[in-house]
Amino acid sequence: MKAAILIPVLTSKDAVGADALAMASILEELGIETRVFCQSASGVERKTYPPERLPQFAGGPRDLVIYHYSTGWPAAVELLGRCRGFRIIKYHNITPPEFFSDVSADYEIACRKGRQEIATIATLGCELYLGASAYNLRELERAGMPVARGGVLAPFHRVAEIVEAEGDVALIKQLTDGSHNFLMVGRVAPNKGHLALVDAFDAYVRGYSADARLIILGKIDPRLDRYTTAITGRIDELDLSDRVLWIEAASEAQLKAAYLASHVFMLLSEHEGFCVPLIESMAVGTPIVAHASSAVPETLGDAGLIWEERDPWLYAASAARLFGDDALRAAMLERARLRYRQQFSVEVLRERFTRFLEPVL
Amino acid sequence: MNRLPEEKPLEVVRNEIRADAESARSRAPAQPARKPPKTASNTAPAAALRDEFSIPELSQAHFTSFLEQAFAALLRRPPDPAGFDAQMRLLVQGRSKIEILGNLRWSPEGRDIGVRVPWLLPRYVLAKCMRIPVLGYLLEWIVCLGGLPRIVRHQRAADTYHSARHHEVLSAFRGLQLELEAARTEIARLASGKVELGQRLDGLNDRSVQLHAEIERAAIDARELRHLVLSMNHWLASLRQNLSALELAEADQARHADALHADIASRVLALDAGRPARLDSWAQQLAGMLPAGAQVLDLCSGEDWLARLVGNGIEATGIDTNTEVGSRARSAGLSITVAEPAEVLARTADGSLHGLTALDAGSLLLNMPVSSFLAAVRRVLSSGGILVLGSGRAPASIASRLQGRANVELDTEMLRQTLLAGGLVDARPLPAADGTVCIVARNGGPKT
Repeated sequence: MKAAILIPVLTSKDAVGADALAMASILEELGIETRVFCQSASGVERKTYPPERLPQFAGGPRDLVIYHYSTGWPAAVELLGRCRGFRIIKYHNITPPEFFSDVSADYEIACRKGRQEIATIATLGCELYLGASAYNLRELERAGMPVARGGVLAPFHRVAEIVEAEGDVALIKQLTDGSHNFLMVGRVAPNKGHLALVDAFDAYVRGYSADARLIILGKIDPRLDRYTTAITGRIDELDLSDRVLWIEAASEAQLKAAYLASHVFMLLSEHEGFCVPLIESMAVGTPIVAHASSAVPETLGDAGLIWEERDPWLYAASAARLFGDDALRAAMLERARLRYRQQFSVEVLRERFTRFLEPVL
Repeated sequence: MNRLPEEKPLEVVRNEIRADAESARSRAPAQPARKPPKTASNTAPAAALRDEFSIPELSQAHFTSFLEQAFAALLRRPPDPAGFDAQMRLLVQGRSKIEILGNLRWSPEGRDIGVRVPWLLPRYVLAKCMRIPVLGYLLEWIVCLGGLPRIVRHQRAADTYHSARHHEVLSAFRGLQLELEAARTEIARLASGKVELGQRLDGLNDRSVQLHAEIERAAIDARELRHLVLSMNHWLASLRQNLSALELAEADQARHADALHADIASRVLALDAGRPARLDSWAQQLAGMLPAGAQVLDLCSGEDWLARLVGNGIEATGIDTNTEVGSRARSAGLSITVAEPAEVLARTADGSLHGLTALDAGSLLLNMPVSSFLAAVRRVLSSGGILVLGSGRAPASIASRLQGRANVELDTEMLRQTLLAGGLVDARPLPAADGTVCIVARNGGPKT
């Protein structure tokens, strides 16, 4: 038996790449010869192979193929059709194109094509479909996936590395000046709700205390310049420029420092297929306030304060309550640690993944 | 809704936060006047809709930006991973930008879109011809030779550009060296702090060990104390049991003694053949002196006397110290209490009795000084109330004798004088048919 991991672009630091690499390692630890097939790879030590060679390596009836589906890639459908073994689709979700309609035509087209492929993938007849969340799985079900072939497996992640990493001392020093730090981690993209976040932060500054800082940590994509400009425009309008810190392309040490020095992780994202930063916050110990959209309630559970409404004052009041109520904060952090340990630790995910593989092991 | 451990229910907290949000909204200062938003600078969608581009326009960007711009202009979409990867590979191999642009423009997708790029086709054909084995090599030679002055000019410009960049890199490197130096100093400071922390931690560990030892000792003491308390508890329980057993035995013995004394008394009294007639006579005379339904208390005169008082229409209650006598009287339907007469008299309300009788005054006075007795009599009897005292035998005096006590010998005159001395009036003998007398007297009024 051989196993193949199929992924369009492999990057060690993004959530999908981390999931794919972790699965490859686990399969190898189980004694299965495993290769990763991708069009291009960056920042990865592991040897990768061109996708067209996949059927030759793991196309047999006793082989295993795991496709990480997070973008439109017609070639993958064709390759999966040529494999006769146990095929698993791991669906990480694709952002709805509407989010990009006034921001980037390129992204809008790419996302539309990617989502148009959901029905094709869902009805491909693969032996197992794994959603990174139940929210993702429901999308596949609506697109025609047989319910009996579905399962939920949260993505493998690098949270343990972040927990173990040493924080950037200079950044911690810079951030621990008495201000309350609001943190948002995630690429600067229109589905992530940065504008609502700025509004919530503004409500806190006006309604509670001006000693506050908003840290926006995430990759800034030049192709989404219109969105980034809208955020900076809103920050300027509200006269908050001096209180906002942008950290782009953060190192692991900076990420750790940001989590450690922040008093609240505030997420107002409107679309998430899982949201790894939530579990990073749980593990490191940053209290969470979040908007209950897409897969966020499912990932967060009872480990933070979560609101259906978009009212910025609710988020400001939640942050203020967490800053002032030691018992509530301690209880939230305890629950977060517990939830991370019981639901999302690598050991738990590994055990679940192995259980899903039982039919072929 | 879930609950916070040992805290308010989460729903309560959420409601409080909602209320706080409303309050903060109302108390917050007005929003600053909004500055006009900046114009968005992303022009990519507009560029993608153009139908014509010049070669310099498309080739001025470098590396990934060049590819993204080329895809956007010629294919009107972002690069797909495979396509991007393939064209990037060509760039890395040293292919010209003209060839990349041509590849995209004359790909099936590029042909469908048909963006015009003047002079791209001949230059693309020339670039492709250079890929023909041998001939292409010679052609490239000729083209390069022809363009040598221009290449040299570019080379000089590149030299200047790279020198400037080199200078910038050196400056940045020096800056980095300074930062590195500062970081090393910081690390050294942290390392010394770490050593100090380690020492403090060791100190804390030592104290913790001592503390644990003390806790252990205290735990041993507590265990020992607990053992002692348990032992004492056990001992007290045993003691209580033994005392109970003794008390039970004593009570049992007292019951036996009472039964014996009562039996002996009834046998002795049965020998006194004149007693029934005597008692009848006194009871009838007494009833004549009292109003109907009069309340009379009898002290230790025997149940036969009590029965006669009741038989003559008197509301009589008896007091006796013998449990057996009490039991027999109650069995006969009489009202009797087993108690010490002195205690009963002390508890009786002032002026509450019409009469008081004690046919065995001798035994009564064994346990009660006469002065106390007379004071009590005067207090409990109503004004004009009747006191009857006898010096005859009753079960109480018989029991006293059996217990080895001397009998108090009283003659009637002595009794009469005692009562008069005690403040009672009309003290006189009350004769029976057999000539035996008891003394009757009245309570003259409140004691002065």
